[in-house]
Amino acid sequence: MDFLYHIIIMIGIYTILALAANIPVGLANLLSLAQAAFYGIGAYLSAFVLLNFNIPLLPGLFVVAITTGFFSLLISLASIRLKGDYFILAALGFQLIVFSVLYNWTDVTKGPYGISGIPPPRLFAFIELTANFQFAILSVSLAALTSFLFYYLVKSPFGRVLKSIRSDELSVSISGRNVYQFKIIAFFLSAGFSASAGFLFAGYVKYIDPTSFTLDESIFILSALFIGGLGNVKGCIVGAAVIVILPELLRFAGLPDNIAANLRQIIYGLALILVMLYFPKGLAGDTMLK
Amino acid sequence: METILNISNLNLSFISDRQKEESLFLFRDLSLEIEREKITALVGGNGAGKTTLFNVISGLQRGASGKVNFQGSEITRLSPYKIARLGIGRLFQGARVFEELSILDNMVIGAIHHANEIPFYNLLFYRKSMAFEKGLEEKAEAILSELFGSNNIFWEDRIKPAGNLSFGHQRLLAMARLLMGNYSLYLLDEPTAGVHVQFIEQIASAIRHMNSHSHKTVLLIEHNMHFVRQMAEYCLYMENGKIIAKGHPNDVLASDQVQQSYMGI
Ligand SMILES: Nc1ncnc2c1ncn2[C@@H]1O[C@H](COP(=O)(O)OP(=O)(O)OP(=O)(O)O)[C@@H](O)[C@H]1O
Ligand SMILES: [Mg+2]
Repeated sequence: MDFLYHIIIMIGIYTILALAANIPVGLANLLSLAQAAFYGIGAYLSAFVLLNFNIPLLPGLFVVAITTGFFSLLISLASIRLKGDYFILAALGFQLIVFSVLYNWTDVTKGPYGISGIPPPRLFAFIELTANFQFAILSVSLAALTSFLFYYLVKSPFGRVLKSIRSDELSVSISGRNVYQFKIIAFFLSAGFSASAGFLFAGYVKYIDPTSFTLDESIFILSALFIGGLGNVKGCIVGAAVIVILPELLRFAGLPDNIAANLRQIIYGLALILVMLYFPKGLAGDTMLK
Repeated sequence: METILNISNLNLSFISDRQKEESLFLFRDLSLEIEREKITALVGGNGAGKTTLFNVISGLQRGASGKVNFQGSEITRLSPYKIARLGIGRLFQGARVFEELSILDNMVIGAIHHANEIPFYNLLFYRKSMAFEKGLEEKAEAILSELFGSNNIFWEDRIKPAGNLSFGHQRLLAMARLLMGNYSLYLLDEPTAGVHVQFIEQIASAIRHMNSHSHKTVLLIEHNMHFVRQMAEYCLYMENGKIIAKGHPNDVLASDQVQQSYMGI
C-alpha cells in the first residue's frame, strides 16, 4: 500500500512542478532551465521553516512560495527584457549557482550531507501529517489546487496576454502592454508554485540534499511537461504520471536496480523523442513548442 | 491647421557612429507634420525607410536622433507600450494576428491594458471582472458589425482560432482590432498589400470609419496609388532620407520629381 501512496505523492509533486514550468514555457515562451533550482530553494526554505517555526501548513507554504518567487527576480533582472537566448542562459547560470551554493555553503545547508530530521508539516497547528496516506491526500489536494489556479490563470485576461506574447511579442507591446512586466510576473508565479512542490517533498521525505535539485532535475521536469504537452492542466498530469510510473515499470520488468537506473535516462530520452515525433503537441497538450 | 504629430530633424543610420558616412544615413534631417483628423499617405520607393519611420514613431526603432512630438508631448525615447497608451495605434506590414488565439480574444487584446489583466484579479473580483470582459466583448461585437455587417463571419466564428482565417480576413481582423484601442493616431503599414481585391473596399471603409466616424488621424503607407488617391487628403513623398514633397495626392504624385524617381517615368 505504501508503494501506491508513494507513487501518488510523487505524481502530485511532479504535476505541480510541470504546471509551474508550464507558465513560463507553455504560456510566455520562456524556456526555463532553472525549475529545479526553485524546487530546491523551496525545499530548503521549507526545511528551515519546519525545523524552526511552529507554523501551520498553509501559511508556511505561502511564505516559502513568496520568498522563492523573489529569487526569480534575480534571473528576470539579470536578463534584461527576458529576451530569448539571454533568458535561457541566465536561467541556466542560476540553476548551476543554486546547486553550487546548496552543495558548498555547508554552514547553512550542510552541503552534501543534506538536512535530515525535517519534522512533518501540520494542518491547523494540531494535526501532524505523518502517515503516507495523509501525505498522499495532501499531495493530491495541493496538485488539485495548483491545477485549479493554473486553469484559472490560462482562462483569465492575464493568461490571454501571456498566450498572445507567445504568439507575437511585438504586437502585444504595441497594444499597450508592458511585455517585460508580464514575463516577470509569470516567472515569479512559476518559482512560487515550484517552491510549493519543494515544500511537499521536504515534508514527505524528511531528508533533503542538493542532488535532488540539479540541472538534470530541471531537464527532467521539462521532459514531463513536453511529454504531457504544453499549455493546459491535462498535459501536466499526464506527463507527471508518465515520468513517475515509467521507471517503476522497469523495476516490475525484473531488471536489477543498477541496470534500471542507467536504462532510465535512455528510456526518458527515447520517450521524449518518440513523443516529439508522433505527438508534436505532447500527449495531451494545447500548443507546439516554439 | 492643427497638427497631431511633429517630427523634427530625425537622423538615423544603421552603422555605428565612428564609421558614419553621409551616404549611409537612412534618415537625414527628416522633418514632417501630420494634420489632425486627416488621412495622410506616406509614399516612397521600396527600402526608402517608411516602415522604419513608423518604427521610430512607435518606439520600436532606437538610436535615432531628433524629436518626435505627439499631441504636444515628446515621445522620442519612450517604450512602445507607453507610446501606445498615449494614443498611437499601429498596423504592421503583413498579417500579424495572434494565430493561436480566438478571433474574439484577438479583438479583446486590442483594447489597451487594464486592471483585469493582473493575475488572479478575476478570482478576487469576479463580478467586476466579468462585467468588464462583457463590456469588451460587446465593444468587439459592435465594431465588427459596424465594419462588416451584423452577420459577419468574424463574430460568427469568434471562438475559432484567428490563424484559420484567410490572409485577407486576417488583415481585416487586424484593422478591426486596432479600433478596440481608441487611438488618436493610426499608423497603417500597407493595409492593402497582398490582399485580394474583394477586401480592398472593406479596408477602405474601415479606414474611413477610423477617420470620419471617430475623428481620428490616419497615416498610411501605401504602394497602391489608386488607393492613395481615393483615400488620402494629404500625401508625403519620401526619398533619400527626407520628405521631399507634400500636398494633395494628385499634385504630389503628378510632380516631375515623383514621376521620375517613383514611377520610373
Ligand atoms: N535594423 C536594421 N538594420 C539594418 N538595416 C535596416 C534595419 N531596418 C531596416 N533596414 C534597412 O533600411 C531600409 C529601409 O527599410 P524599410 O523597411 O523602412 O523600408 P520601406 O520603405 O518600408 O520599404 P517597403 O516599401 O519595401 O516596405 C532597408 O534598406 C532596410 O534593409
Ligand atoms: Mg515597409
